[in-house]
Amino acid sequence: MVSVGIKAILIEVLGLNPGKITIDKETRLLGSLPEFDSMAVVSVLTAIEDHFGIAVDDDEIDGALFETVGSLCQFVESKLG
Amino acid sequence: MDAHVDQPAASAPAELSADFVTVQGRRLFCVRRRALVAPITMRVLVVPPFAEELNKCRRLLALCTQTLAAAGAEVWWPDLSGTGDSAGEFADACWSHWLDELCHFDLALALAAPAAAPAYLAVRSGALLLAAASSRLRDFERAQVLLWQPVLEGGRYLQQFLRLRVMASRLRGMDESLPSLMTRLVQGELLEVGGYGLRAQLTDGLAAAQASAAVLGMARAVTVLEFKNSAGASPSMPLVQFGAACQTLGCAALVRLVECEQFWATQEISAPAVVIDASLTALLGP
Repeated sequence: MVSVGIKAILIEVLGLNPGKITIDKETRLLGSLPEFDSMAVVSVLTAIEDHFGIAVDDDEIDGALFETVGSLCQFVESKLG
Repeated sequence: MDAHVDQPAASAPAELSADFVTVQGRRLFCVRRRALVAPITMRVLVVPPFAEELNKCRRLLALCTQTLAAAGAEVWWPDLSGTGDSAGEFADACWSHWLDELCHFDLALALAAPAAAPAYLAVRSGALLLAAASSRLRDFERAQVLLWQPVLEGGRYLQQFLRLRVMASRLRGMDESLPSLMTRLVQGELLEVGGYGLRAQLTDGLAAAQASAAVLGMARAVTVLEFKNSAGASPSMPLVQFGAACQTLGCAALVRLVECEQFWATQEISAPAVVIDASLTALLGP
């Protein structure tokens, strides 16, 4: 499932403690999660591309993409077709 | 002896040597570890990762090559031109030179240990180099290939690397895009990304490279080790597909998920012992 993969990526890349933070589709990311800075965006994108085998174009990257876990999942699902 | 060479303990049953050789006029540094027990069962050529990932992996590679040598192998680990202790600047590195250098060390290692079973340990984008050079490598079809979290598509990898610069630029209020950076490379410009200078003579080859199953699956056996720090994580789809495609070619392929941090990208240098254990098992058996 995409959401399971996204959650694992966020935990790994951002170094989150799943025992202390609940990560679900409503979890807000950019601007809300302190660990989610601009460089984290790069790392998360790389991990998503490598894990799902998709390519994210420059013009697909904007703030809305990283608003919530759900928005990120929706994007990946659309790329997977 | 360079500081990056991990000295084994005094009682380790392997010989360590390190020196410079000249390949096409370029002085290249190579660390060699050779088991002291006869016969040498396996010869392993390390195919290194790219840029900062190499620096992050050095300690782990030193420990791993030491362990492999202690288990009966001869292991060569070259610094390609413009990297590590080899001559030249990274900004002057050239993809075709790297392929020539890899082939040089491959042949030299084969001559040094002709009866040993051939093997390659390719780390991250080292898989791209290995694939690009494979048709020129001695005994590749008899070889065991071990891939640490292989990069399968050079073009995507280059874009991910350039993305570091795009994000850094945006943080400074500048507006650079991936297409504009690619254009500047094509036009012959030197681009600095994360402290590394890139020119088209390197990035053209990198962008075109693919670690395809059709190529790497020509080896006798391929083991992919994927590393994730989450218990119960699932393997990456591209790597699973890669392994399956290798198997259809008759290659003994295995994709294994190892639970540990992604050592090539951690802030602090990390050398998880599980990587060494898994590598030893993959190449020399349990």
